[in-house]
Amino acid sequence: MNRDEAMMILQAYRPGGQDANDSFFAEALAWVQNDPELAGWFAQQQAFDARITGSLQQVPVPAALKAQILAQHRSKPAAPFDWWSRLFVIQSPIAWAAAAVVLILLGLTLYRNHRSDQSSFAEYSEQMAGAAMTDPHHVDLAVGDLKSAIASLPKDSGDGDLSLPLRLAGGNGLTGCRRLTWHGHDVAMLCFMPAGGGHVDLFVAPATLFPDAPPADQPRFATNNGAPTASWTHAGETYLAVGHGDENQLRNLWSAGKITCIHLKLCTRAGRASF
Amino acid sequence: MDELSFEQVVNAHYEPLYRFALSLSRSESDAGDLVQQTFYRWATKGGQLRDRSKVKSWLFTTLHREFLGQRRHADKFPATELSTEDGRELAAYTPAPERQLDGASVVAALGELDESFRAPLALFYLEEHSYREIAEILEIPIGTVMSRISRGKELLRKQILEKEEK
Repeated sequence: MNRDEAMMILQAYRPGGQDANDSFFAEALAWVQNDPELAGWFAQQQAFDARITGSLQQVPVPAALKAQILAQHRSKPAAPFDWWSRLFVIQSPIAWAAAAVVLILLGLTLYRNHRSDQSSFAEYSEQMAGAAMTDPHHVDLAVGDLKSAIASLPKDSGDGDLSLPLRLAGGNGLTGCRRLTWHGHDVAMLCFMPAGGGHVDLFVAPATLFPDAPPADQPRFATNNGAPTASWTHAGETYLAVGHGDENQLRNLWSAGKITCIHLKLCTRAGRASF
Repeated sequence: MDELSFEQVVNAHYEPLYRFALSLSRSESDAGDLVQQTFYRWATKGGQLRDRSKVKSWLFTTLHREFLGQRRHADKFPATELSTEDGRELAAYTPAPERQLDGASVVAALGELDESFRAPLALFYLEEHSYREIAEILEIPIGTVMSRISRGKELLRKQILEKEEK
């Protein structure tokens, strides 16, 4: 602490001596004892403060104020001591402990339900890639155009805006589709064998199922269950493309290195198609 | 809360609360209203305060909040937050006025200061609260309280001297 700091602190020292035992002021007061000039300044400060304090405390208070406060209180009864306030005041420690246990159990239950409902996209990708690669029951319905495929798929969610890689746009190579379920939710699978070779299965599921849904409109490439995959999100739907060849074959679906998707608005006679 | 305890609280605190309110509002009627509103809050919400040693701080904090709320609502006194000047050289001491100041002059001089200085200075001179309690009541850091008291005293002294010279 330097002299200026001591002066700053001493300004907050009340002239009535209420702060005499406050250790915060001890070091600043020690400066006063060792610095006569500072001691003189401090004495004058205290005298000025005492004068102001005395004057302020002489400010008269309206004689009727107290009576008005009490009258107001009598005319407006205090708010009833609501049951929850009573709960906070009078419950025993045992009751508090019991309430805490109940809250913890409730929290755990909610957390587990939430966890079971919101599985990770990585886990989903592993399982879907496995289904694509090993499941002999590959498609439910052999169809050759997107409109027919979408009409046969579950209308779980989505706004009908289907996001597809450039080389699959327009249903190029579509051979069939299938319904699967994931934690009780429908998942649509479209099977493509585009011209020029290759085999890709595209899984579409609501993005709300996953706390870690893939990035929007930007394919993220990975390997799941030994198969190359690309995943992205568009308009509330997650897309998982599982390639049956190598990773380059999958990447080639996005032409000339462009990482863009074609968005197809598909409408059926009944209205917009959705997953 | 029973009638007796309410009256005890009023007896113990209504006078310093009124002086604080007067310093803030510079109006006797507004100060009275602020104090009444503060005790109304106490009557309706005070039961939730479990630490009874905090009653005084609770009342002053509530009154200050009421004042700020009313000021915002009225939009008559735009809030101006002045920057603090930590580490600033303190002004040389000027002899204090010799004659006794009356309370109204002090309130008037305080009223000339910006509210950011007025509130901590009023609490300081009421001697009801330490600098730590002032920081709690005004909901500002302790360092800010220290600098505002220091700077505010300097400004107050100038105000009083100017009034003396007129």
